[in-house]
Amino acid sequence: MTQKTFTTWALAALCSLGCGAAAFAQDSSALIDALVAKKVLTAQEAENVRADLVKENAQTNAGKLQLSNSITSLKLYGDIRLRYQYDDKQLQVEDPAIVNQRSRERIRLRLNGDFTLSGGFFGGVQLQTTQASDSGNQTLGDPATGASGFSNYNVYISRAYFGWANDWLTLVGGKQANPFYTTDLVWDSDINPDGAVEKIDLVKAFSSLGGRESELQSSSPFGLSLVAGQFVACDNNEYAAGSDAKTDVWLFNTQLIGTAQVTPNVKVTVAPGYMTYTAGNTADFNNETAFVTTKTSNGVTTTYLKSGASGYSSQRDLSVVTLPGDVSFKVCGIKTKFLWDFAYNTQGSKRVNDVYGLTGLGTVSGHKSQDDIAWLAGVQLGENKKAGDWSVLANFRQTGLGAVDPNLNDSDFAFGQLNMQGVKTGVAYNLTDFCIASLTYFNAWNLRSDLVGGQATGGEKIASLNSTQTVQVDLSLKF
Amino acid sequence: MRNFIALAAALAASATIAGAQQLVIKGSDTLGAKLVPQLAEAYKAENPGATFSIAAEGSSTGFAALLDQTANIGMASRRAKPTEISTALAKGLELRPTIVAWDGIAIILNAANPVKGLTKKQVEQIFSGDITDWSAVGGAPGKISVYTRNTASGTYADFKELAMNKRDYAGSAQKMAGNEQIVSEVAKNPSGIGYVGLAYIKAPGVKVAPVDGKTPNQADVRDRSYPYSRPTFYYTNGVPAGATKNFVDFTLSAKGQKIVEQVGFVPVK
Repeated sequence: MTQKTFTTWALAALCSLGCGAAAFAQDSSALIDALVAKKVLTAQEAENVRADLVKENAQTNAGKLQLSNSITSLKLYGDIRLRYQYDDKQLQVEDPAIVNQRSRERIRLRLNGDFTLSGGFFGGVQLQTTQASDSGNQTLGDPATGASGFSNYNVYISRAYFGWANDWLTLVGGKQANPFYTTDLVWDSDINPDGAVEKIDLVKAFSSLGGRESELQSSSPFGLSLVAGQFVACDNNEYAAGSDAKTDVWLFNTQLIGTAQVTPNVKVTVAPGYMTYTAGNTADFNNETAFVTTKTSNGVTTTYLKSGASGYSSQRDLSVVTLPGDVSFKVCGIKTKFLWDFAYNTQGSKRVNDVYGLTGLGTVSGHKSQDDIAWLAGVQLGENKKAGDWSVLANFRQTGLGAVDPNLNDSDFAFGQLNMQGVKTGVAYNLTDFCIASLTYFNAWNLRSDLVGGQATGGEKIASLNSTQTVQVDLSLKF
Repeated sequence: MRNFIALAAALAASATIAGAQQLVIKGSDTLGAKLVPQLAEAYKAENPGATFSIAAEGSSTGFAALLDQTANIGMASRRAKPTEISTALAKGLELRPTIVAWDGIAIILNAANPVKGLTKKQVEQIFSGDITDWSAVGGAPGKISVYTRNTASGTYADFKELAMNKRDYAGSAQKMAGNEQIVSEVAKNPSGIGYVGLAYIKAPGVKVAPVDGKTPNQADVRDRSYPYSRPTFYYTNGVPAGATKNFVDFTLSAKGQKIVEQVGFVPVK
């Protein structure tokens, strides 16, 4: 092959590659430089090729997109979920205002944009249907949300955050994904808390400080991270009268996440943590089953709190120690995970008495130690990553009346109500790499049957259920 | 009447570019402050009817002028950005590069600075603000004053690409309009450091800092063994034609390339 023929071939090959791949124009620089270095191309020929490749790229669909110069990478993705849901509620005390059976067709849309910038900065935005913090589901044709008669739905900002990270430290501020290792016993997976988060990879931090970075990081089977979050749940007017009314409600949550790769197929994760609130006034929390202490309706303010209690905060008396974890392994080549969660409110007695107002009612036997504890244990087989994948899950849980924050726990299990126990089971199957069909069944019944009165079955009715069943049939599309 | 004024203005504007031997050249300060004016003078000596309008305010201004069709040639010390090329395509234009000279971006220090040389890593750290004191690179203790080109400059962008791993400049870096301003500031400031094109290194009060032991010279720039070597360009709308082609050809001729060398650049051939 003559030099000229080879040059022509090289130019043609580069140009055809450029036509076929939008990103090629940017990626081809090293190849062009190599061809110049080997004297296959002259410098001027190389410039012409570069210009042609960029021109070709600019004419592709991708090439017409223009991003801010500060962005080094951008990922756009989202999902749409169609859901049929059937609910059945049996109440401790019958209430004609509450619907016992209901079926709904629901839709959830989430649109995400995650970006990275130079210098370790990053950020992201998520838009989704519905304003409720613990559910993105928009019920189709729901007159309660003004959506009947084919009217359109609102879209809300569910995440807006940015941060900075190096090898061992990550700082994030804004409305962001839950940074903690957790289950839906304590945190509903839909909640994106607002505030600041700090994550320290302790193994990397100490090895970095000790100058043994590469040695430790590459060989250690252990991981240890500290995660701390400071989230504002309710902002109050600092000049309002009364200490609770002028105190912002902040949630402080800290967790130590430890992992151990015991064998190539067995990994253990344990994440002890602690969470507590500042006791400010709470009103108009926007959850599917919000628990608040002060509500204004038609100009009338009602305070749901035991008479004579010291404050007006639904987040009062929550000092919760948590201990979620899992063991991952393979059974007959199938990914399997045994998982658990545990929560103990060290101020459970006070919360049951003062916040839920269940002392001194005569018909109630008062606080019991089981009210302070919530726990969950379950198993998951399989995973859903590509077409043909399947997974099965089953777990059992008990949630004591004073154990966890009802504004954070899973709104699907017993509608987020407390004093409940029961099972959650489900199966999911990947129809394609991006389309998953799933069926989930919840069956729950009360933990104590003697909790009547106070805010258990009156007021905010946070533990008003005798039993519940929920069926969810989902078809989810990821893009 | 309004239509007539608009038509007259349009004709006047087009006459600016399409006039007999009138060449409007805008863009890079690296090329436009010394080299292109000398090329233009030599060209005029052979073509007495030719006239030039040269504005050297940074490569970005050259591309902007080409896109606005207010220049025949855009001088550039960097390649056109994809956004500039797509904007040109949208307007029915084609930004065509011609390499007219090679250049090496030299790191200059005050002549009294005892530092003998820098590594590529140190250069990146100094200009990005990781290193702020001369004692960290073997110099006398004292705060480093960093001088860079402004954001319209192709050298500003090229230096980020070639020397800084695309990182941002230090927040304290002082941005200068041209190479000569950087030379002037570094010559006055014993703690100063800056970068300039090869054509600007022979100035009193400054010295060139070798990078990884390499000092920019013709051979090392031409074979790119000097780490901050780069081509410089004339950009035209499509393949050059008419008076534009004549001047581009003159620049690439033996006579033109001799001027390129005399000014301090590295000839293409």
